[in-house]
Amino acid sequence: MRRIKALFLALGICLAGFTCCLLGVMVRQAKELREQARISVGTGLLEQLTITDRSGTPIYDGSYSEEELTRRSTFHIIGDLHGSLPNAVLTWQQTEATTLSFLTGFRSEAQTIQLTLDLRLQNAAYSLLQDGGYRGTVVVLDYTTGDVLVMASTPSVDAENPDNYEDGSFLCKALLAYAPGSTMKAVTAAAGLEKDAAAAEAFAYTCGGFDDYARCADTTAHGVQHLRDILIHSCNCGIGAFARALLSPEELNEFAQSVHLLDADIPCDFPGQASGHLDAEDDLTWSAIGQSTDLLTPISLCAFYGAIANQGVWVAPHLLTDTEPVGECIIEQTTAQYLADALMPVAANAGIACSAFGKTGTAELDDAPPHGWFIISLTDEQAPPYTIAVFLENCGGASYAKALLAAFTNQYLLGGDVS
Amino acid sequence: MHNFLQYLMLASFLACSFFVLYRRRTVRYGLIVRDEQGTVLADGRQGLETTFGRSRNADVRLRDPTLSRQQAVFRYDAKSNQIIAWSKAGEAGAARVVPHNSPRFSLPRAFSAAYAYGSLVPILAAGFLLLRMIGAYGEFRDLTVLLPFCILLVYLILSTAVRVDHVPVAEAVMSILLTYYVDATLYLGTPVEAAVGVGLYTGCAILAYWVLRFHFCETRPVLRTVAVGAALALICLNLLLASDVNGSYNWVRLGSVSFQPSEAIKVLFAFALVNPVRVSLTKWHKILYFAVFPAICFGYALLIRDVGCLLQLGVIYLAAIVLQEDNPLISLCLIAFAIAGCKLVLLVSSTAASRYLGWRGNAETSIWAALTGAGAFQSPYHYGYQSTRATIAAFQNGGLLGNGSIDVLDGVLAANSDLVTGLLAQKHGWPLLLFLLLLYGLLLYSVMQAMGQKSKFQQTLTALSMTLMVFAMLLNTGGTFGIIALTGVVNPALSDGMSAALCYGTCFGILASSGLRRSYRVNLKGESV
Repeated sequence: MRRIKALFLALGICLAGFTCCLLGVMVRQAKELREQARISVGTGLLEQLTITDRSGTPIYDGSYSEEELTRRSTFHIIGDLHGSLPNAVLTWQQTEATTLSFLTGFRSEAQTIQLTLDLRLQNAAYSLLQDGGYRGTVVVLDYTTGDVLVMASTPSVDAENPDNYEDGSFLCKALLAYAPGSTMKAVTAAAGLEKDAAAAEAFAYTCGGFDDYARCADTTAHGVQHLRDILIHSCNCGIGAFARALLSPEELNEFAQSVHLLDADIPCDFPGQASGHLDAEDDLTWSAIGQSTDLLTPISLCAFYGAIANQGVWVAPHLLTDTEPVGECIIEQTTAQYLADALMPVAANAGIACSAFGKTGTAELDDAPPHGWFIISLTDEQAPPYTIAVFLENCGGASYAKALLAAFTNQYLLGGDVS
Repeated sequence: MHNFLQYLMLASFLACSFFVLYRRRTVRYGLIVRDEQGTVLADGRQGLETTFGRSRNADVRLRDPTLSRQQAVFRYDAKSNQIIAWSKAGEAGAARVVPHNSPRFSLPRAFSAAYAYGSLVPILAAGFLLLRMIGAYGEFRDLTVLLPFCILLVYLILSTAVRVDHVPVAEAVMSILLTYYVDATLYLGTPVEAAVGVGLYTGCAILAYWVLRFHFCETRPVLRTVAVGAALALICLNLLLASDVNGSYNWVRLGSVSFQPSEAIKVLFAFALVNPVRVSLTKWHKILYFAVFPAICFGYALLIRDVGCLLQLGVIYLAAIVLQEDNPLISLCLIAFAIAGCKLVLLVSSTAASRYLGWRGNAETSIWAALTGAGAFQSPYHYGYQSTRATIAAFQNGGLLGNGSIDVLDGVLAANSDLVTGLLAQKHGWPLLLFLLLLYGLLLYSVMQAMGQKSKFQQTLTALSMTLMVFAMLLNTGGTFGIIALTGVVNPALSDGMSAALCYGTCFGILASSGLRRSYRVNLKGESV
């Protein structure tokens, strides 16, 4: 009996020691795993989550959509269950929207999230990009409310089949910074108009195709031009001269900062994206043209062009319908009106089926085909107040972006359904 | 709120049970009662309290209608070297008594109070069962979910009704634990499956208790022979028919039924290693039962690559040797061999070795860090993710009172078997883990206290069963939270599965049997009835 008692005593000591280890696990290991816990627990929360577009069409309803097109087109916005995209909706839901209660563990604040996206347009934009074989992005903003209706990016990932993807698929090109090319000219023009509108409007330059600072595309001589003509012709020499005459490098830098072109917090409800870069100190002329070391994101440029259409009021782009729009007057109404009038022929030339203004851009690169940009804002009273930006990486030039944007706008935005 | 009430009930049950057991700790010793042939019917030196009376449950039944149902109770007090008698009529019943040394008779204080508050134990346990039943119905809204709880209530009532003076602590602990078994089964199964599992547990417990009532089990090697035969048959069946499941060959499919023979072999192994009383083993018997048969079982565990089973068999074997072997040198040699055997397992099994290295982390990790979960088990998605997920489920997601809406273990393999403690802590709160450990502590205390009344055979068998259960519980819970570098061992009375019911239901029956006295019935003139 003594041996049995000794055995039972040993078992009791083991139990007591094990209890200490268990408490040690709770204090030590659980604390170290707290951040990982949010993601793991968040995965369980996500089964109760519904994400819809602006019309209530489900994009995610406890699980991914059954349609591959929807899964791919919205991947960069909603993300996946593993937190692959740090600033996506599902990752945000797992981390920021998840609270930990000492009594009852993890709880989620939201069960239904309504995005400002228009799923029909999103899928259409993605299809156009994918069918054209492009690596690029289409962004559509409502410039009066800041709603992001489209933010499609290719290549993308099918969340149901995540192992099959191309290089760069996890990057949302709408939120990455690229050389803006001639789309920067509107920014330079706005900076000059804001500083001295009279001088800017009176500015004149005779373009011979090249000068000591820059050259135009194909060294085309544009002749005598005012600012309006410089914008229409996208004259590199003219805008460079304009910048040298009216602006200092610091002033151009500050202006770009003041109009939110360099912000990282866009969309404002999912901050922490890539920020733009602009330093005219390196080379004022080429910085004004949109080359040099300039790097801007498609969404920030889209918001700027939207501010032009919105009479100088910049509204922070956002993805959640719950987010209150934040408006800020970044340029004078007269500046905005001048730019809109000056850029109207560009949009008309692109074959947009309504009144609009816009700017193309071809961003030259050293060892690769140039990027193509095209950004327009619809000003027609019969058309919705949207700004559309198309960026195509290494596509060869702005003409490709122009063609895609025109097709998207005319076929899907202004009429017709997604086939 | 339900979980809070549950904790209250558990705390009350534990406090009451510990108190009752503490108060009854001296209520043990009785008399030696022999029949006309001199055969010992009740051995007071082993700690029986002997009851006399007309009652069917009396240790010495006196068929005299003039006597009370409980005419007298005798117990031996070693300190005062007295036989203390209690009688309603103020005198002892007329039965032959063999006193120890030179007794003196005296009337003790009334001890019926010890039995009165003993009834609180089954009452509180029954209250807990009802509370869990209400909670289960509230969750599932299905009447069939009440079936397993009804089985448990019936079992608890029967175990209480067996003897008036019986405090069914082991049965109550088993019933309480099985309510969480129902939770684990309902996680992926149906109420009918839960009811079948509970029925198996209680059925095996009742069967074990009933078999051990027979005196010949202690005095003849019947159980041993049957156990060895059954174990060898199961070993052959396993080796011939098993298929690979997650690297182990311990699942056998017969038609639509799958089961693990290794679970039954564990308890049969314990039966085979216990020597019957007053039976002398020859040298060849010793070699057969303590060398050949264990070697076959260990080899079997290695062949099926079940390290958990191997460890459990090893612990039972060591305990059996330590308890029954009088030569300390042999005991020490076998312990050293067992420790060396652990290293051998790591050499033989690459899976066990890699898991050990993952658990240990790098060379600088201290043992305390490894025991509390350092090493590579840090990712919810990669190697060791089961332990990580279970830890998150229990200590982060469970909170203090449980999280009934979010399941971190969804889709994780073996969530309701190997990781059941994580699953239950997630649902009911992490304090449940402490209560479960306290329940095992209570079981340990009650069995240790009650075992003094039993023969050496039953004491040894009880000790081995207790060791098997506690070790399995430690392996399961430790593996779940990364304290031990092992998974694949189910938790007794908690994990989903029918195979474990055979083993641990039997173990519970053995433990319950240790707390229940047999009645010896003799007539007034000393003739057996």
